[in-house]
Amino acid sequence: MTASFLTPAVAAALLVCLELLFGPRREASRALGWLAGVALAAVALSSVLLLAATLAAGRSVALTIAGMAAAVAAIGLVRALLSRR
Amino acid sequence: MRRLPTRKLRAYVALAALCSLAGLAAGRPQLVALAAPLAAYVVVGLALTRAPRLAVEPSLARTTVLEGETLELTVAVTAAAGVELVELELRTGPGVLIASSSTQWSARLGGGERGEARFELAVPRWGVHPLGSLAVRALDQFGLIAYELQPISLRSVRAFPRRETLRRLLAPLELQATIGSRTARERGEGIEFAENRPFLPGDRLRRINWRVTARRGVPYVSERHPERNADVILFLDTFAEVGGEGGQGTLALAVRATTALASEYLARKDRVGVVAFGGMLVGVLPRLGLAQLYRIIDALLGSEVVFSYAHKDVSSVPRRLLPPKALVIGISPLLDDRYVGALLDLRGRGFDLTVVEVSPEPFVAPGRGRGEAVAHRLWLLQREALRARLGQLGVAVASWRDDEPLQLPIATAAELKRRQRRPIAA
Repeated sequence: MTASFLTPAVAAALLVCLELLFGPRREASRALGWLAGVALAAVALSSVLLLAATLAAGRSVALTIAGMAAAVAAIGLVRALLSRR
Repeated sequence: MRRLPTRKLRAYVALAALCSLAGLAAGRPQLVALAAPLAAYVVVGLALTRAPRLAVEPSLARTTVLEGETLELTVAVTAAAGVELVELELRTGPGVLIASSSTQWSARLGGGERGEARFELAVPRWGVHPLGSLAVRALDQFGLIAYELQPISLRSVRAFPRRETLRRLLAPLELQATIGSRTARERGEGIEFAENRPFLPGDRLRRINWRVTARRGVPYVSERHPERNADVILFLDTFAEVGGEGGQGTLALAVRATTALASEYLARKDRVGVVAFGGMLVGVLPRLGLAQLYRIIDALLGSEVVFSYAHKDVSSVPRRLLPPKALVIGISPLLDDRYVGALLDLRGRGFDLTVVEVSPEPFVAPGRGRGEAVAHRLWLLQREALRARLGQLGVAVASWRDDEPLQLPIATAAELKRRQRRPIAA
C-alpha cells in the first residue's frame, strides 16, 4: 500500500536522477528550474495514472489521495528532521 | 545534417518499456505509473525537437607561418534558434599539433546568439599542411536527438622553413656579365679601384686621374673593377631521407639550408635557382629579387622523397636550370648513388661545385650488438671515403648537423675552396 502511495515521488526522483545522469549539462540556475518542472510533471502524470488505476479497481480515491499526501508529508518530515541534525 | 538518437533516448525508451512490461506481467499499476513519465518525456521531447540552424565559420589569423610557430583558429558559431548544447571537435591533419589545452568546445546558444571557440595550433615542420576538419554536433533541449553537421574541412596552412642567418657566403669562382654587388676581377666601369695605367687612345677623358697625371707628367687613367653578380644553383637531393619523424629529418634540414642560402644570395643581388633532384625533378629557373625567394619557397614546400625506379642523371635536368659559370651548391645527405653520380657529372662538366652534407649520422644509431657496431663503423668509413673522393675531384664537402649553425659548414666549405685554389708548392 505504501509503495503505491510513494509511486509519484519515486517516478519524479527517477526522472530527476536520469536527467542528472544523461544531461545535457545546464547552467545551475536553469538546471534547477528544468528539474523542478520535470519532477512536477512526473508527479502529476504518475498520480493521474495511479488514481485512474484506483478507480478502475473500485477502491476509494479519497483514501489514495490521502495516502499519497501522507507519503509526501512523511518524506518532507524526514527531510526536515535530517536537515535539523 | 544527420539525426542520431542519444544514449539518453535509448535509456529512457528501454526503461519505460521494461517498467510497462513488468507492470503488465505482474499486474501492478504502480510500475506502469513509474514508466509513464519516462514515456511521456520521450514523446513530448521527440514531438517538440527541431533541427538547429547553425552557421559555423572557421577563420585563421594567418595562413602562412614559420615552422614551429603557433597560429590561432577561431570558430564563430551562430544559432538562428536556441540550441541547448553545441559541441565542436577539432580533428587535426597530419603535421599539425594542438597547442591549446583541448580540442573540444561546447556552449549553450540562445536564438541569434554567437559563440566563439579558439584553438591554438602548432606547425612543427615546413610544408603545406591541411589543418584537418571540424566536427559540429548540436543537442536539442531534451537531449534526445543529436544533430551532426557535415564535418567542415579547414583550409591548409603554409609553413615556411625557419630562417638561418648567414654572414659569410661561398664566393663563386666566376661572375656573370650582369650588374650585381660582387667585385669582378677584370677591369671596367665600377667603383672599386684597381690600378693606374698610362692613357691609351680610346680611353675616356673622365677616367683620367689628374693627380697622378700631374705627378708623372704624362696622362694616366684609373682602372676600376666592375660590380657583377653570380648565378647560384642550389642542387637539393630529394632521393633519400633519414629520420623524418617529428619534422626533423635530413630533408627538413636540407630545405631549411636551401631557403637560407637562397635568401642570402638573393639579398646580395645574385640570381638564384633551385633544382630538387630526386624521384621527381623540381626546378626553379635562376632569377633575381624577392619574388624569386617566394617562388623558391613555394617550390620547396612541396618537397618530398618520391620513390622512383627511373634512372636519373644530370642530363635529365633542363639546361636552363644549370647556366654556365654558375656556382652549384649541392645540399644532400649523400646517401643515394644517383645523386653522387650527378655531383661527379656536374664537376666533370666544369661547374664550380660545393656540397653541404646534411649529416645523416645523428639519425642513425650504431646498434647494440657487436656486428651492428662494426657495420656502423664501416658505414662511417664509407662516407669518409666518399667525402675524400669528392675532395680529390675539387669538390668542397662540408658536413652540417642540426645542432650547429649553418654558417659553420659554409665557412668550412669556403676555407676548403680557398685551399683547393692555392697552387701546390713544388
